[in-house]
Amino acid sequence: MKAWLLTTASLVVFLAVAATAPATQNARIFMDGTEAYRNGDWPAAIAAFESLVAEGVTNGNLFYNLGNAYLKNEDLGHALLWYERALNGIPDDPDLRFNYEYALTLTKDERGQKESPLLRILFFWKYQLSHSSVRWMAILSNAVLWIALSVLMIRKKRFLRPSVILIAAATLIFSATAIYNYVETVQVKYAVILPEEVAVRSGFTDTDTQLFVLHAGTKVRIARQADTHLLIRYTEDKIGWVKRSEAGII
Amino acid sequence: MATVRTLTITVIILLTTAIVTNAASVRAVVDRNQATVGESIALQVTIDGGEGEVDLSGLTDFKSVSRGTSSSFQMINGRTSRQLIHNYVLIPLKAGPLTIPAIPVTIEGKIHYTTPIAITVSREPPADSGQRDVYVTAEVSDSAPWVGQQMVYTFRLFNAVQVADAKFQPPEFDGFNAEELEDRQSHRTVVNGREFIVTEVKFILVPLKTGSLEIQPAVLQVGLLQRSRRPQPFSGMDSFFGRSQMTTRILETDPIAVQVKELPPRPPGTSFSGLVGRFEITASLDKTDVRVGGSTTLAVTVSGRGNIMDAPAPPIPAPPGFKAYADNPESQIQPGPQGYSGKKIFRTALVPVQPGQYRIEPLVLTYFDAESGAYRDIATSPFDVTVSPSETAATDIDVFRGTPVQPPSLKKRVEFTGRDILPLKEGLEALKPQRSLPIRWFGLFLAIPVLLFLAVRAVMQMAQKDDSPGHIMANRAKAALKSAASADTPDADFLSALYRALVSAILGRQGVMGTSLTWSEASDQLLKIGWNADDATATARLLETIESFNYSGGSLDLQKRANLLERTRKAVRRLTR
Repeated sequence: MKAWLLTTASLVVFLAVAATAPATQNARIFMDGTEAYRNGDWPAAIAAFESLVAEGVTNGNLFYNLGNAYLKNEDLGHALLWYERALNGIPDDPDLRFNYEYALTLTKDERGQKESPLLRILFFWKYQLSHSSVRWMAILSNAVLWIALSVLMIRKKRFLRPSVILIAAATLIFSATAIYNYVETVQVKYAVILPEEVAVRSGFTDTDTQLFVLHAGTKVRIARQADTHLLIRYTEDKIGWVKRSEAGII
Repeated sequence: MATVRTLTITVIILLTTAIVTNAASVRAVVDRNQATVGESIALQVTIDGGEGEVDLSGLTDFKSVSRGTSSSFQMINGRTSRQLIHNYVLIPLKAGPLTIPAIPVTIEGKIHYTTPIAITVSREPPADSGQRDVYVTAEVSDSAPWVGQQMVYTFRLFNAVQVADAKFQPPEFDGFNAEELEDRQSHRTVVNGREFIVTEVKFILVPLKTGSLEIQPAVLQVGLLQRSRRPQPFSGMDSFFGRSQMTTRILETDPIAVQVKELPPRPPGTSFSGLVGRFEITASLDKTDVRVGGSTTLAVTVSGRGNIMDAPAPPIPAPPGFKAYADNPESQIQPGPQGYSGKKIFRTALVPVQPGQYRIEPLVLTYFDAESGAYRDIATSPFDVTVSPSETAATDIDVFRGTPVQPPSLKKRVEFTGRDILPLKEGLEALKPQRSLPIRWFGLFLAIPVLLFLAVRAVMQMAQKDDSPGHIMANRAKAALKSAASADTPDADFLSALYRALVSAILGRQGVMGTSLTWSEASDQLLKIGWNADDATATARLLETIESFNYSGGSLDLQKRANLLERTRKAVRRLTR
């Protein structure tokens, strides 16, 4: 009986240690990365944080740290790439916003694709709220709507009807926006130019005509993806091919 | 045979005539062969029998201006002729015997030449001789100015005959800052016994550099209205009608040499303001007794003639214990026939922060007097200011309160003094996965409330399901109505179904079972459940109508069926609601 208990306890401890081992290891790598950053060893910090990303850690704060490390390492292209990725996770983070805006001031190219001001006014909730906020607003308003409908069905209170109409409108707006955001995320891809200077060409080879030049940190829309190249759209009238290694997909 | 010969000869003659008609020739004529320098000469190049290109590049002694082309087509005695006339105005560029050379005209690839024309161009008589009909002059008010000293350039047009279409091209004024006075003035004057109209155009010039400068000639192109004196073929009937003709003249002034002098060395210890001309300086203080935190305005006025617009803000000798807030200067400067003149006012709000007796020292301005060629110092008078303690506590002094002239705000836009990024996020929450909600989960979250609602509804329907007579009768009424609504129901069945539906609905509302009602019973029942008399009577009458159709056995048309069905449906719906 005693042996059986001992064996069971050992097994439980072993399983617990085995389960927490990767987490502890990741924590150690993360701490090493922050320590390297504090010591000004930017490449070491980048290596540590990127190894965590390679492990499958997807977290806006980690991406933010990577953006910082790259920016300190004077790699503006990668810095803005990671800031853009961080914005998908923690869009309202003030530190991220500050560093991102600062990094944008270091870019050489004007912003290419610009949203229409009219659209930003008409569909302000899409631009003001993060994707996550829109999703949860849709879920919440949808729940409230059907609860209100249930109450209306049971108690037949006429005064509830205007409120139900308003809630239904909100549900429709947020649900449609959330679905649009899902579709946009899947269909519309953006990339950030990584090297200091990139020649955008009419074809895949270096002998193809250079159409225009972009610089590190410039955000472009991906029009098409080939095996080795990306067809990027800088503005409506500026489109061309760059190598995959020259643009990081957000 | 004779007829054939005659026909052949006729064709040959006609062909010959056509060839002669098509042969091209060119000629050039002028309206005069004697002129003075600048006086225009009309030139016509006529091309007979075709179109061609006229090349005037060989006219080096004349300035040529095209006046368009005209063409004519004539048939005289069976012969056709076409003329194309190119009109030009030639202006001799120098005096002496000149020649209009043979002008090449290219017609269908072949070059034809006009006959050369000799023109005698004489010099114009002196401007002040009064013998010219029109002439121009230019002069400057000072041909040896100091650098920065303003001077006036005057262009004058003298005309004793009527002029039109004047086009004035001023000089470039290289080395000068030039501004034209908008007010162009005209007056009459007599030159050597002949009356002229004089039109003046003035520019204010400020030399920007020293040394010998030259003001290039000003050019004026005018049209002169003169009585016609054209020879053939220009005159036509002009001499008979005494018509005037317009001749174009190009008039040039002589270039003007200007020797711009450098300013002499500044006297030691002076601070030159950069002003060149003649200036005055005055100052005024709106209050000499002021409380701490109050305000008094010092107005410094620099006035005079010269480059007053360049007057810098004078350094205000605010005593210690005063804060100075400068306002934007006010300029009242007018360009005039003598150059720029006016004043520039600099206002400064002085706010004392310590009580006491203060003295605002005189303001000294050093300018260069162009007339005497020396630097001059001008100064304002001093002001004594008495500052008394503030009525409020010393710690509560509001330097903006009670100031007649609001001093500029002390608030400044906050600018970055250094740029860097914010630090890392060192919390271990950076390792927690942050995955966005998958769309299937989003869809599920949206669907759950809908499913719950449907479940609640089903439960309610289950709970509401009962076997009360009212419910049974209401269902029976709905079923009968549904049966009646079918289009292929025979009339008898249709009427029975309507009767059943209406009776079931009325009885069901009372909570009783039954299958028949008279119209009076139906009316009473309806009144009992609260219907008004009209509605109750109308529904009872409907029941009676259905019964009467049913028992009479007559056929119903579609319209009647629809009418009965609709009325019954409304009544049933109201009763079973």
